[in-house]
Amino acid sequence: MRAFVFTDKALAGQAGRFVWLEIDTEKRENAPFRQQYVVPVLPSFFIVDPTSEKVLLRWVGGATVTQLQKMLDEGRAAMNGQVAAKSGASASHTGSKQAKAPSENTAPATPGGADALLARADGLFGEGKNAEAATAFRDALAQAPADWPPRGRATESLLFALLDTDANEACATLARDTFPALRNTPSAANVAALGLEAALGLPEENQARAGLVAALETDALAVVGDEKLDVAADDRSGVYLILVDARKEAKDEAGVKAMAQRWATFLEKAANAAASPAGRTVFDPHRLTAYITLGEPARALPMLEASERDFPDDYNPPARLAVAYKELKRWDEAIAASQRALERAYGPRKLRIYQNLADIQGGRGDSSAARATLEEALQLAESLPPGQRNENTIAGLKKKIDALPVQ
Amino acid sequence: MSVASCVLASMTWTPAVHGAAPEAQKVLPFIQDDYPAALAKARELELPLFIEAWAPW
Repeated sequence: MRAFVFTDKALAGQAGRFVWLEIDTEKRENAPFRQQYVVPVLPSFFIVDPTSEKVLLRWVGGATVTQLQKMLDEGRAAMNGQVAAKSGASASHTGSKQAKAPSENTAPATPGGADALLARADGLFGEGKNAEAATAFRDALAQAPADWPPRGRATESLLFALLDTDANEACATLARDTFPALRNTPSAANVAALGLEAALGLPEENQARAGLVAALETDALAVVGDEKLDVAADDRSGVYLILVDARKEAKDEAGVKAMAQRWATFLEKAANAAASPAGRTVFDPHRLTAYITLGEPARALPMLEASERDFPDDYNPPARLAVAYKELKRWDEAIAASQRALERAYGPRKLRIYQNLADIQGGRGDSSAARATLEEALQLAESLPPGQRNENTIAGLKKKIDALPVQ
Repeated sequence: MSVASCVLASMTWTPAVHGAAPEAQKVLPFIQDDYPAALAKARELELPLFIEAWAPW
């Protein structure tokens, strides 16, 4: 998003329609933001009514320019609906600064109509009340005409809400049933990926599982096979990731390798086409995963070394190099890369680097060093402020420390 | 150009991390890591607040 979407000149006309804020969720100063807003995945996007601080719309994950433009239009419409509701006015907001924004479809939603139901669903989704949001999204979609502009976004949000509340069968079934209608839209990738992930999460004894997995794997393959589909590169890569998981679940070792190779080829092509080092580096994490899946972690080394040269203050390239060297059992280089990453890292993400370093030290047989690293990580985890502090992470670190052999 | 875009376009934007695209390519005037300031500006201009929650990875 940051390297490809927010740089698109097509968005220039949106500049005056919003106040724009970016929040690095890893920074300690932004912990209060994390307490106030539910951020389930990164990136997440919010459109907020500044008077009430109510979330009007939340979007989780990446988006294309087209999707972002639609999201922004819908956010403006929701904002104007809020203003109209507060003032008791109709669509006219003459006299407010908002009325001076570029012309837009900002008619407030009809009470009880699909738009009003969507506004309620978006509000619940924005508050992280995903079970209630799922019901509300379903109500909105049931009321809406087939060509309702927010259909794709509402469906994606509903699928996410279902998956997040472990309603896996409902999620997979909805994805399978709605995919044909959204097949040629930017929503296709997320519909297929969320649905397939939900289907794979069903217990083996679920009688619908095999049929849902097969149908959604076919849908996901159609997405990655359609190069003309307007889908964000990271969304398309996410589909490959889940397709690899599907082959793993099927215990199809040759299929895993074949899919990982397709994924790596796609990522390499996308990285080579990037106009800048920043654009190229976006693909590093998925390329690393693809190469590890192929059993070829050394293929990641040149790209990660280039990224570290291009972005010497960024902790990510050395953190990823540490993972690659660990896979290669090149322990000394893995430890050196980890230390470089730790010098540059901050926030909760630093805990992952510590944990990888402990695994490296354990792999080398130095459990006392691994213990010291995990104790340092635990100290950091316990020092994080509310909003960044995670009790599950703390419990996990304690468990890892307890599991280490005493020397 | 609206009042809002004049004000926002004058804000200095610097990339938060090295993973971000070069400054010259940015087309939206993001405020960095200052929720209270952005909220106050949105209230003053009567504009919705767009927030990107992200992390450098």
